[in-house]
Amino acid sequence: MFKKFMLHVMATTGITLVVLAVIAACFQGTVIYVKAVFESFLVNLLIHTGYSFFKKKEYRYPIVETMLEMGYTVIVVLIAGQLFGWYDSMPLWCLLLMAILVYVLGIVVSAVSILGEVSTINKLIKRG
Amino acid sequence: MFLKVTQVRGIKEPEVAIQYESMTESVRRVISYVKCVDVMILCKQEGQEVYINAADIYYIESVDKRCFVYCETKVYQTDYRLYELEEQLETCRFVRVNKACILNLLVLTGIKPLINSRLEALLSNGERVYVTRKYLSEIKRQLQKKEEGRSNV
Repeated sequence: MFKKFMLHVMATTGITLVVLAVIAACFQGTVIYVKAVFESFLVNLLIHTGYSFFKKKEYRYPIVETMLEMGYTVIVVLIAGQLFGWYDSMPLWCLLLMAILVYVLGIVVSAVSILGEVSTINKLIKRG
Repeated sequence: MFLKVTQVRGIKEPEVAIQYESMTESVRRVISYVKCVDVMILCKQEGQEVYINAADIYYIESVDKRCFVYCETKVYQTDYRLYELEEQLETCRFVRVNKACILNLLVLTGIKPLINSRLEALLSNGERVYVTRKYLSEIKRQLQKKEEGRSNV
């Protein structure tokens, strides 16, 4: 369970850094500070801790869960932005865009992983 | 599969012996079925108490704190709580598929992902049951256990 949790944290931290690099490149940025890596990791750790609480409850409509997760992600990112001084180097809209982009990419990665799991299950059922 | 039924007078209880050369799906199903034969669940249908064999149950669903036992074509009600049934049926290859439902893995024919990130289990009687992502790994684990069991039997 913990292994899977950490795997998700690492995966989204990786996505965050790639998205950050792409956005930085768009603004003619050339370097990512080491502290940005640790900050991204910490924020992703916080976000996934929150998600694990949301996932304890089953929602009748998946959209409710998605909205809760997205709202929570945006709030954590905004607070982290204030704490770590991200607004000095990046406009607010850019930070929000980044958060949503990372969330969507995370969903895509998760969907691919679910499809893989479903395929394994179906193979196991067929094999008996 | 060749079925040999012999009457032996004087034995205390029926005995089932399975002979096989290699463990196949059919053999495994027979073993599971035999193991579950003695597991009966007390249910109610139109006020009458009936015992339902675990192997005949497709899935059990809890709706408003009442549990409904779904067989191939019939539905019964039981006074047991879902967690109690889950414990009783653990050895009969039942697994939780969502917060309110436990499913007999032997009737599971496949899992289908839906567009809205939901999943559904397809059962051998054509019914469909909603599956939560949370329980997907447990379903996989149980099926893998089944596969391991095949080589150990």
